[in-house]
Amino acid sequence: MSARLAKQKGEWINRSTAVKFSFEGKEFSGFEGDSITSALWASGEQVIGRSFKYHRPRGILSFANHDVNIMLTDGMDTNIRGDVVPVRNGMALEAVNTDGGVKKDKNRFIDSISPLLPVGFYYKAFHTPRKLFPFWENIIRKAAGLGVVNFNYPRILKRKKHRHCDVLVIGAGASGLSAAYEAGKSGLRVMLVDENLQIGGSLGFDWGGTQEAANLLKDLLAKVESLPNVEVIAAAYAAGYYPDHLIPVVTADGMIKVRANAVIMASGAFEQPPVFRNNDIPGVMLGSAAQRLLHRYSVKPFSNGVVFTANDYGYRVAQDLLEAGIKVAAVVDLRSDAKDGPLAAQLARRGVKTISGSCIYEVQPNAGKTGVKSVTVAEYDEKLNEALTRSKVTIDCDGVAMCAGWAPAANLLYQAGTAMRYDYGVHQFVPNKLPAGIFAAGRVNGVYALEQKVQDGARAASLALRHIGLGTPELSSVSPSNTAQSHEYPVVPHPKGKNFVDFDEDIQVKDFINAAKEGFDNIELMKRFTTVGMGPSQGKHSNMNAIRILARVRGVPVEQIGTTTSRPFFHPTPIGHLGGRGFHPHRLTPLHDMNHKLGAVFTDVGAWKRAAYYQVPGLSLADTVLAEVEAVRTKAGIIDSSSFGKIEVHGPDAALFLERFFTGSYSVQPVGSSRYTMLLDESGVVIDDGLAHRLADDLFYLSSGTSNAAAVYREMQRWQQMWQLDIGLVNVTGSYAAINIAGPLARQVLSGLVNVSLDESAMPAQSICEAEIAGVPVRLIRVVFVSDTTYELHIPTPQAAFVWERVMGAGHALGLKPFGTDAQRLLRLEMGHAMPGIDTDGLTNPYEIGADHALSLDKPDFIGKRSLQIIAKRPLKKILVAFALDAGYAGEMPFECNLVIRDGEIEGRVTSIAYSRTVGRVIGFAYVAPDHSALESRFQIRADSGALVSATVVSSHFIAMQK
Amino acid sequence: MQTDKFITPIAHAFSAGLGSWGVINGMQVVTQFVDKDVEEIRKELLGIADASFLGKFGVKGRHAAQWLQDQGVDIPTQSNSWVADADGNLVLRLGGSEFLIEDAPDGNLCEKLLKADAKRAGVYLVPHVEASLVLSGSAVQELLVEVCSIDLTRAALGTQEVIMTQFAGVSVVLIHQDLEGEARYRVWCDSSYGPYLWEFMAGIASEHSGGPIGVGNYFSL
Repeated sequence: MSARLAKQKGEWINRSTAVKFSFEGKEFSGFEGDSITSALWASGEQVIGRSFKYHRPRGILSFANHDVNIMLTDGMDTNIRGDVVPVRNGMALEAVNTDGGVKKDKNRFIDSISPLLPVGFYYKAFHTPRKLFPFWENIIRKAAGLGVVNFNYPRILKRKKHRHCDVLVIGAGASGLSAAYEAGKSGLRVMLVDENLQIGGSLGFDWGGTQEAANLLKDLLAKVESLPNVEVIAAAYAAGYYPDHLIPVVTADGMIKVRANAVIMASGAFEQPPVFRNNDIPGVMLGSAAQRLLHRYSVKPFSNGVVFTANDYGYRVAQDLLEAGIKVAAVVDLRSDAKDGPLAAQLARRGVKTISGSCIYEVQPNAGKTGVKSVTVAEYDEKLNEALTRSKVTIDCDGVAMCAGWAPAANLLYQAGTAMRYDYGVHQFVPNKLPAGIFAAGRVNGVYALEQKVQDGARAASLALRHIGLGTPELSSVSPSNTAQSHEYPVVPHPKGKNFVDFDEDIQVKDFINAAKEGFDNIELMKRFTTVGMGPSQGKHSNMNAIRILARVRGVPVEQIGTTTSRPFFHPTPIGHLGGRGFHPHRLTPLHDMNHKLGAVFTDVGAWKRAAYYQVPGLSLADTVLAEVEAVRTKAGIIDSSSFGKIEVHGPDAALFLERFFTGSYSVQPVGSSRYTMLLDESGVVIDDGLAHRLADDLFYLSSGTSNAAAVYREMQRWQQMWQLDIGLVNVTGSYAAINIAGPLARQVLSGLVNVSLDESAMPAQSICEAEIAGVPVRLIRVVFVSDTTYELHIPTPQAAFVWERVMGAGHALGLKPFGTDAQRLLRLEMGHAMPGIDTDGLTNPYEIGADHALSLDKPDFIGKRSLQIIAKRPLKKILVAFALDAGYAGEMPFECNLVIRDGEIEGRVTSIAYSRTVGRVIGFAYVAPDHSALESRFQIRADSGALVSATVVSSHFIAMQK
Repeated sequence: MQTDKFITPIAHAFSAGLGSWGVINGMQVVTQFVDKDVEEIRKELLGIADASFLGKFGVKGRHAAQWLQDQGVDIPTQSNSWVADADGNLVLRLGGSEFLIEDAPDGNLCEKLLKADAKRAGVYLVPHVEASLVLSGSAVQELLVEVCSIDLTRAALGTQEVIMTQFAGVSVVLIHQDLEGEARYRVWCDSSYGPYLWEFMAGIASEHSGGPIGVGNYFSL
């Protein structure tokens, strides 16, 4: 039987377009604009989900995306929020968290054994005996969770956008619309966001039997729409607050990171359920949920209902039900003085009886627990917090609307640092002291009457404009409502329990009492023990009642209990939204395509893509690298070194700057020569190394490793800020490409290309000159990093490819081969060069790597000198040594980071290790105790399998061991 | 200028074989990506073009401003602002004492400055080989809001402001320029990031029915 009402003004559905879909294998139809839930409810389906823990049947609770009773899967996506997701043609939906379907869920038996499964039972039950824990863990892990993650879910782009505005208004109810209009009148950029598909907030459904709210909505919408500078974004929730008024607004398509000069939180309040036995049976729903069904989708929540209220709101709900032609069997009011008031009188005139000072003691479900059969009503002693069951009556009905009060949607206010206070007038937390630029209006502020909400929005807008700097007059403040909008303790004890506080986690009143008895009587501890508020609803309907229960258990005021910490995002947000498009900035050398054509396999080095090796068909990776090394050792190799850091230091104080910045001596360095540079931090730790090439008295050209270039340049700028020397720093890393030609034939390769002599006397090791190759200016440097004969060409980036081709052409007949970073690391190892970052860590000082030669301690000062002087007085604890495994070793290959073991104790670790065909041995660097660092000392390396491999300390100039 | 020695720093992004290559101002660049008509449409919606061929010159130091003025260059008086001279050459003041100058397509100011004597205390030449881009179109803000966290709307951006910010994680220099009645954004980034940034932004542009276009759509060549 259809629960659809006749067409009414303001409904969200388009009755001219039908939508066909299936749920749990059964065909249904709804209308365009229906949510999944409204379409099912209109078709008489009330069991649409199962609870997380006890697998109890569940229907509508809030119907507002604030609870998770109804979560579905369409086979591709999971945890689809049926209450708010529009139904589409062809959808094939099933409830999540069932075994065998929502109606015949095999796990429903758990409800009958729930007394055996109180909160925290698994904390206590399964940790011993330990050997059984994996068994229980497997069961618990399978039972946990709701929807099943689809690992084949396609990547759907969710854009992240940055937006800016003067005033951001969160919530488009009466207060938010009023605030947006008032702020918008100034001409400033105003953004108004609301989580609902259509704006208007409660004006769109909370009518109280009159057209006042609907008319006000029409008026406010017209006003806002008249202002082109007010941008309205519906179906978007403000998910968190970050400093400087950065607020991520989540939409179906992605996320908008809004930065606002001022923020008005008109986010409203979450309706709170009273707590009584079987308050989760399908058909028992919040009063506002019933109103949403009625006025948004024209669907009857039930046919003959009881309104259980603890505030005046329940009477508005009852009036709306009556207007829709729904029978209201009774209004049960927890407050003892309710029946004599005007609201009860209005209902009495329409034939509805108000039973005041009473509660719903329990709901009797129908046979299959799929709906409501009747309710038992009993008197309620507010002082003793007891239902007086001696006078209970049973009322037949098929549904219950619950109205116990509200909890402010203050999550973002908390995150922004708002100091809240508990207001005993409205019985809710309200802002006490707001941070600069943050303003609150409406229900979140404790203001409930329609006219006052509008005023409060305008007031907040005036304050926001004043904050921005406009001379807007300050409007008078609006006091929180003077009648209690929430009941101070809407909790009905029942000896048989099932009076749920947290619908996500099936947490009952007794669970809180037991938790407090066990000592978890602090709200943060109680939260973690009971898991209240930790489900997908994040406590929207449970936290306030949990606080009230704990306050009652401890006998303290609510404000003394406080609230749990609110963290962004306050509403579950798909990972895809957080990931967004994904930025992976990377740098390519100007020779990238050249390398690619040569078969390069690239590796990430810092932000750069560098050629690791050049693939040769039929050759293993190890053999490929060894072949590249062999080319360098026997003929010539070429490597793209464009990623090296390159910095120019100009000016009369350039040498002085280097003296202070690095550990070596540069003031007397001849023009045309290169010197080693080592950079320490203030504590004497090795940060980086490289070379300083002097191009002129007042110009040094520095080159350093790939990874640290940007950091080194930043450090230079920082120190120059303090030293204020007469220099200019220019980072030319991207301006120059670099190519190294290494090996015994390197000179021969280049000699026909460059316009300068490469003779040993003209171009010795550690020298630099300016030259040209085919008219392209190059900086030609003689280095010894990977071989004794290496030339480094630094070329203006746009001409690098041209020069590379010329060099490759010249070297072709000489056997010139490209080599990558893998071969480079082995080549430098053979040369005995330790590398910062590989052979050092965040604590290594120069003495530990034997770099005393790089220290000019006679200089007045350099970064880290004072620390080095202290370190020098202390005995070394470790020292880096070169080692080789025994000749012919063919056992398990140790790796970098394997430990050096002596007498069963850790003595050090391996930092570099590789097989060198040149040397014919496995060689490497390792830290050992200084006492064992002498040449020929023996030590053992523990390989991954645990096997101990013997090694011998050797001279670091491995190349001299060449077979 | 030796025509076959220079190649645009964005070349890698064009290596798929799309477009027609040519030489502009001595640099190999893609001069046309698709049919002229399609490029026109892209330009109206969200066009992105490679202007890396334009000559660039950089200088910094405490006397850089004076040196440029001595060379007859009009410089912006405010930090982080830019001016265009009568010939269309751009002069960007990066901070207080650093300048980036970019030639108009037929300009030779940079070549002239390179030949000038810059051997003066407090004047340091800065080589510039950045990737240089042009963006325009009705949907350009849709691109900017995805790649940059700061407000780059016309209302927020002063007419002569130089913005140093990040696009998709890459440091860029940006200005907004009205030229020939058309609003354009000019963007410069380190040449090594050029292919990444181009591919990233061209991808977004194509989602808005825009995309790469030849730079001739923006400059008379």
